[in-house]
Amino acid sequence: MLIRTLCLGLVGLTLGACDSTSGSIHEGAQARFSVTSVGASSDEHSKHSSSYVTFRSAEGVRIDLQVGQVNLVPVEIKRCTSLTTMLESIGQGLIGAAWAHSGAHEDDEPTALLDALSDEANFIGSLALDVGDYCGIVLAVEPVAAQSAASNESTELAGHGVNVYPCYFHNTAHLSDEEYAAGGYDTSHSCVQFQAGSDVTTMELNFNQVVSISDERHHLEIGLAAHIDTWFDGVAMDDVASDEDEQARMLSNIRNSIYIDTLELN
Amino acid sequence: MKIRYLGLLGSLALAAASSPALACSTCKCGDPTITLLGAEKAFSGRFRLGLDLLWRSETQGADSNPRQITTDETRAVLGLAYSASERLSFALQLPYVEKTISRRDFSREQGRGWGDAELSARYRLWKSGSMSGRHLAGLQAGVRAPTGDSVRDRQGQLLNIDAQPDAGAWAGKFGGWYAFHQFPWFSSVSAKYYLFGDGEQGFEPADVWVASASTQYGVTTRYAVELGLDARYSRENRYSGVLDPDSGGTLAVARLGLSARIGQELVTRVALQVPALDQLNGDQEEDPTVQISLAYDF
Repeated sequence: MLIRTLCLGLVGLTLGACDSTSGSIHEGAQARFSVTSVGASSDEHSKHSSSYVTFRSAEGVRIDLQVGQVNLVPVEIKRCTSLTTMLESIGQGLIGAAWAHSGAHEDDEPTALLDALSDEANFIGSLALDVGDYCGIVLAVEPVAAQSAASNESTELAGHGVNVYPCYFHNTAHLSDEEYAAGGYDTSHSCVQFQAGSDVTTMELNFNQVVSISDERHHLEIGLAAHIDTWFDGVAMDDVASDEDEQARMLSNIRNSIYIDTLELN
Repeated sequence: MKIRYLGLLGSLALAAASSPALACSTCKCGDPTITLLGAEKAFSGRFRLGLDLLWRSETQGADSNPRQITTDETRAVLGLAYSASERLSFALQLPYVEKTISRRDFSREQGRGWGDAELSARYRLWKSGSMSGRHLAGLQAGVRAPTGDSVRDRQGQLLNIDAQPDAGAWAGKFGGWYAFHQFPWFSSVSAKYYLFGDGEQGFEPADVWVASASTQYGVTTRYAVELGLDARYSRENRYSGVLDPDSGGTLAVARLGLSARIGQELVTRVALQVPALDQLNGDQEEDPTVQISLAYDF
């Protein structure tokens, strides 16, 4: 009788221990990328009844940017180059492993573009990581696939990596900072919207210090920033909508405007 | 899910517990061998309650594969067995499972919940020997139902199928068995075929052959040692039609067990299973398994 009671008690305890259904998911080692626009002041434009950002190019031209979208995509986290990593990469190449680079695109799609009009950090994607030392990143400005553009409500970007809509003030080019700040200048301007970047272009950015991914610390938050006030430096604004050379100069400016602002390893 | 099981188990257990004490089960079947749930000799009205605790782990995928998965599993299986006659017995098994899958990138998923219930019948076709028989053989059949929990995390995200308590698939079970009872020896052989339907999340488990052979030697009527061999074979599983190369194959594990009878009706066993023949497909590694079993006759 005692043993029978013990058995029933054991069953009861087991059922009690099986009280809950529960689950948990812990993300793996990964780098998450976000990007913020800096270098311009925002204002509410009563005439256009839409928000925009204002800045002056290197030539002094006032630019009111109505739209500034860049499909910026993280491509790779660069391992620090050493004899060992070089041999590893050669070995991986020989066996045809899927590690063409150290990072790999995660399944989740980026939720946002680099948006010049947004003053918030926008998540643009993540890359999986492995244990090791990392020294930099590779980013790309990629054309948005038509299907993806439709789902992201950025249809104007379909087939292109950049969509801009600058209004530029012809008579501000040679104003000093004081004259410009005082206002009262001729505000005649032109506006043009166009898309550029039908090919993938990449850029590399190095970390200031080696980032070591380990079992204990493997969540890397990479905060990028883009100095949008440099996007039209040296660009002939009257021609940029149709001239490929001018667009290439603008695309180069966009790539060069991006830098690593913050790195956080947890 | 839990409340349903609790009600069912509680009713059955209490009904058994409150019934008048039966003569000892060993005396009723004339067999002093120490048998666990499912291996016992049947006699009309025999009712057993069993609990199996199992710890196992396996790794799928090569070391160079960033998606390599290690699974650690703890499985508690509550079992009820009832013999309607000397020939026919029924058993119900309700697993409660905790699984943790870990990947090389340190991502981890842990699920805990009820697995798929299995109802089976065991029929004795042939008996040789006096009284309850020395040689017994028969057939078994059963069905596994997708009654298990679909586990989600606190944000409502469904866990990967590998971290779910079970596959969530219907399965039919068919097989045969043979047992030899002559104290101090007890030997048994069985073979089963599981015919699986489609599981959750696009998981398509392959059908599985399971075979087992064991011999037990009773040092006394209270203690016994056991040696056995358990084998399984299956083709590769599929996920949404895509074949998983690191699944299926043949695995045979050697089993060493120590059994003890406590009092008249409680049987316990501790067993260690060690891979003996590993011809699993792709990159798979099965670690040794530890199992603790209890069976009680009401």
